[in-house]
Amino acid sequence: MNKIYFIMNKIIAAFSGLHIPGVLILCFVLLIISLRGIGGNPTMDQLRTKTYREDGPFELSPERGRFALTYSLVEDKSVFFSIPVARFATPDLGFWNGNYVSLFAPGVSLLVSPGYVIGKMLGNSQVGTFAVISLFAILNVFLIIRLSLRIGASKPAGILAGLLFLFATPAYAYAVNLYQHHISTCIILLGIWLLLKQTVISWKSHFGIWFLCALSVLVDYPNFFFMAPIAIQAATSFIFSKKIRMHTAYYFKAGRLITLIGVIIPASIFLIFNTISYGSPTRLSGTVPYVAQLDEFGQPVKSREGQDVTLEDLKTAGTQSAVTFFNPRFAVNGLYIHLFSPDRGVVMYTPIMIVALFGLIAAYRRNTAGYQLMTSVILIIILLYSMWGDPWGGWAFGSRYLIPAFALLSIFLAYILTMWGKYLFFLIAVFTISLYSIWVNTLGAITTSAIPPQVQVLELEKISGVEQKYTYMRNYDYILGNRSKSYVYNTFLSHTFSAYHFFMLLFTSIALLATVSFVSVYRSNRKMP
Amino acid sequence: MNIRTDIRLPIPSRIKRYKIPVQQFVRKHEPCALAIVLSIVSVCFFILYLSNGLGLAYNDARSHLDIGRRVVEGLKPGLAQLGSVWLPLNHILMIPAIWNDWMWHSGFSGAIQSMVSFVVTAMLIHRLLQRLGVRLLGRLLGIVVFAANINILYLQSTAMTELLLLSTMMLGVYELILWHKDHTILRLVRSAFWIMTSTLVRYDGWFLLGYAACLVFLEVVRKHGYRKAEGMTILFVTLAAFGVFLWIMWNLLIFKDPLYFALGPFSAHSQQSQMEAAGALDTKHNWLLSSKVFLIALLYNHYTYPVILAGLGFILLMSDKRFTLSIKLAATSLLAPLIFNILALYLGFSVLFVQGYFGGTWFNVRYGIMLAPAVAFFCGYLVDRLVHVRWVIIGTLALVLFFAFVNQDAVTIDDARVGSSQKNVSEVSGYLHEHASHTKGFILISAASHDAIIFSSGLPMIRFIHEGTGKYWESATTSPDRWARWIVMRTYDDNDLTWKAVSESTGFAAYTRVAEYPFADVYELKSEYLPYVNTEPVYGKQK
Repeated sequence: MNKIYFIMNKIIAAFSGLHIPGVLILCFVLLIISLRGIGGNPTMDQLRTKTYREDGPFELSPERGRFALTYSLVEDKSVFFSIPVARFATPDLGFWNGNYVSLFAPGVSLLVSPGYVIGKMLGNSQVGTFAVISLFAILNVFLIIRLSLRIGASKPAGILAGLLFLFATPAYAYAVNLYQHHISTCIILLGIWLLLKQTVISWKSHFGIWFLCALSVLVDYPNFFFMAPIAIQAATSFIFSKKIRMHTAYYFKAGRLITLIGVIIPASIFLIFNTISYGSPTRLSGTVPYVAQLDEFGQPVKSREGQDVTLEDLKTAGTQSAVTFFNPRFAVNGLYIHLFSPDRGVVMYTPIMIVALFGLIAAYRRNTAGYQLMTSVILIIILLYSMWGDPWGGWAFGSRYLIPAFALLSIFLAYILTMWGKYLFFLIAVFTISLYSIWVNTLGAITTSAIPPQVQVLELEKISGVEQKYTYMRNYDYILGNRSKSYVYNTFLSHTFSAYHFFMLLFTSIALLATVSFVSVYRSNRKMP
Repeated sequence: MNIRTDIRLPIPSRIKRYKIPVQQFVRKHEPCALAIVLSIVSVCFFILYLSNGLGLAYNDARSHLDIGRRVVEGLKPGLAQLGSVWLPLNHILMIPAIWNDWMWHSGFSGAIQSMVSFVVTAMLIHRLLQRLGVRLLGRLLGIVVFAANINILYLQSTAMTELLLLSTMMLGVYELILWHKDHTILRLVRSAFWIMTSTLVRYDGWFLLGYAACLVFLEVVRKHGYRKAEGMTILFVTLAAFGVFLWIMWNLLIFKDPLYFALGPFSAHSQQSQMEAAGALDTKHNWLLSSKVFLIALLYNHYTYPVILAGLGFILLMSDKRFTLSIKLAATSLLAPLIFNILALYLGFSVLFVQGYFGGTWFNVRYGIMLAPAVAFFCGYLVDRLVHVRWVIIGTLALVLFFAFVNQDAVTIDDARVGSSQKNVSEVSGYLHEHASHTKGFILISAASHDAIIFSSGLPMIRFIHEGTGKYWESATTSPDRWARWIVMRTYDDNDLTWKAVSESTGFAAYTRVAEYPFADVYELKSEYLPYVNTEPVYGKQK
């Protein structure tokens, strides 16, 4: 018994002193194990099969739409989709000027292209593409740790917060998949980090912030709003005051305006892409007409609303206004869906984030560095996506739109863990909630993101004739059916043990990592005077 | 590396030098400037809704205007035309302007009170925040939350009663809160007066009267004991309940029943009974559903986020040690409409449908706007209190309001246009306008059922024989062929008083149905009977 205690103590002591890169490597290994995919370099004909779509990594249209653009750019050297690529991208397919085009902002597809090329060279083009997102997820953990330290949290608490963000929120499911959320999160965290890392913002940071602001829109249009507080704070830092005798003089750092050239590269890509794809630099992808289905000749036959359309209808169709996608009328339902609903709610999927609210209150009292900036971004994310017409995010796992907000909340989680980490009762309560959150999200990561919204389930039950689940219990059934979408499991481990055992093994590993982190938070707080 | 290209701006330093005069200037002219800005906003939005035709979209708005018009014009003009269905203050205030045809048909005679009330309520929110020590930013935010709400801007542009109620209630509450602060008897009298006026606008005021009386009693009991509390409460209630007393007396005198307004055939109670029979009153005796439905209406009317902020502001105010328990209790009077509306739904006195949640359509969803002053006040207080995040709150509020304006998100307009409150009577009123404008003869119609048709026809009130025209109505329903060239009614509907009376008369056979529409049919007297029909008023002045 004494020996076990001694060994445990040694592990915890080693972890307490563990360098951040070590933790990041551990996280990356866990992500690679969970990464969704199928080996090989699939052709478009293969990608359209059930193996790759319903049963594989392209189960939902956002993944397909972005991968279709990457594929088209790399393989066909074109922003216009060939008919096979267009078929693969449906039902989220755009149509403009007689061409099939992407309905998504191009940033994600462009950023993951190197992953596709490298993956292809290694014989795993799809896995390579998805792995880029995992790299961004790791970068997010690193930034959470750095920002936690910046606002006054301890290192163990920062590490724990980073781990909980990655494995105890829906961020996990979207770190092994082709979605924009981790890239957007990374841009937001980087922007905040550039603002907070020094007291006086350097010209390099200013340059970086403008670059990130423009890049964020290239990745996902709503990022414009999320980056707005960062841009405003950066812009206000152009002006500084100095007390001269009896009055204050204000100065404007006109030279810093030069840093605005940071926007040129991403903005140029954005404008050129829009011009080529949609015929105008200011026309956004989501505003062009949708095509949900093509006939055997590659002609459009169905719109997104399920109505019959012809080529002529689409040619004469106008565009929609992007700002009308968000309406305060939807906020009542949106807030409920994001926060409390059984099919997507934070309470159900990642209750650990509720603990972060205590951190928000505690940080307010001390007015920690960047408090206003981070709370404004969190609030804008929650509000904007509550006003979004589809707060469920289609068929999805948890509230995927809130992933950047979860990252920022994790920083406040680190803060409260630092403040209250000496109270064993608090830590045990948080630990219990963490285990539940990790269990749920590990389940989501290695199975499926195709969870229907509750409102669609009744209709679905009518079609399928069987009871349909709309919570993570659908994922549980999936794993009990001995199915997983993990590339590592399906390629190397499926003959050795069942999907359920794989899940339990992965969950236990993450839980163990979290346990050790909790103990080190407790130990570090006990050491504090 | 720092680029040494700093340019010194001279202007801010000048601002600093003149800081004290600037502050004094702002302090001195702040209310005046705000009143001017609010008045301009008010007029602009009235013109907007007048020009796009939405100003009179509510069926009730047209009925309110007709009630006011009947007092000054018609076959039997006079104060008795104020009726019993709605409380009278709104219609009394219309009288000075309603005689003018443009003011009647544009709705301006009814909207002008709402417009003034809009400015007054916004100024009161500002003033109350100021009196409770809230700084400039919080005060301005309070005004913005109230005034930059399209639902408020729409209702202030119509002849509806909501804004008038909000202003009178706010005046009463304002004085009541300040009385809790300084205990000046004059404030209590003023509060009683304004609460009295609110009891003459809508029945929400009656609840406020009871709530305020309880607050007055509690406050004096706490401070001076029961004997003085009894006296003070009687003093307060004597004036504050005078409007209620007058209304009951009015009903007794005119309709021979003091509770005619509550239990009469056109009362809300009667309408709700019909709805209950049709199974559309699920909120009755269901606390949870009543609260949920009203809460959703409240959130819809205020774009959700400000309500959340106001809730937070309320909690902070209740825990603010700077304020005494008296002031905290008095501040709860701002929430009286919340309790009233839930209670009214629970007791079955009111009905409210929110499309997508309850009822399948919109109906009375505008009731959620009753808490607009409370939401604005608590938001203003919150911004003042949470110093570190005030710009976060302002920025996020700006975002929500931006999308509200971009999408023209106004649940009250939907309520008026597509809900049960709307009544597109343009076809039937168009028919009347086309055929009766240049032809002599009276039109027999029930005002209780078809006020909107009377209004929209554009014909003078004197052309209509309705329930309020005394002998004309009695004669016309007995022998319609002698009095009415046209009859407008819902065929086979006994709720339509015209049909109920005329269908049994022998003269009805002299009519031909010339037009059929969703809300009413038009009957015209056959040509052989035309020489015998009266086309001029003959009864002179009736009592």
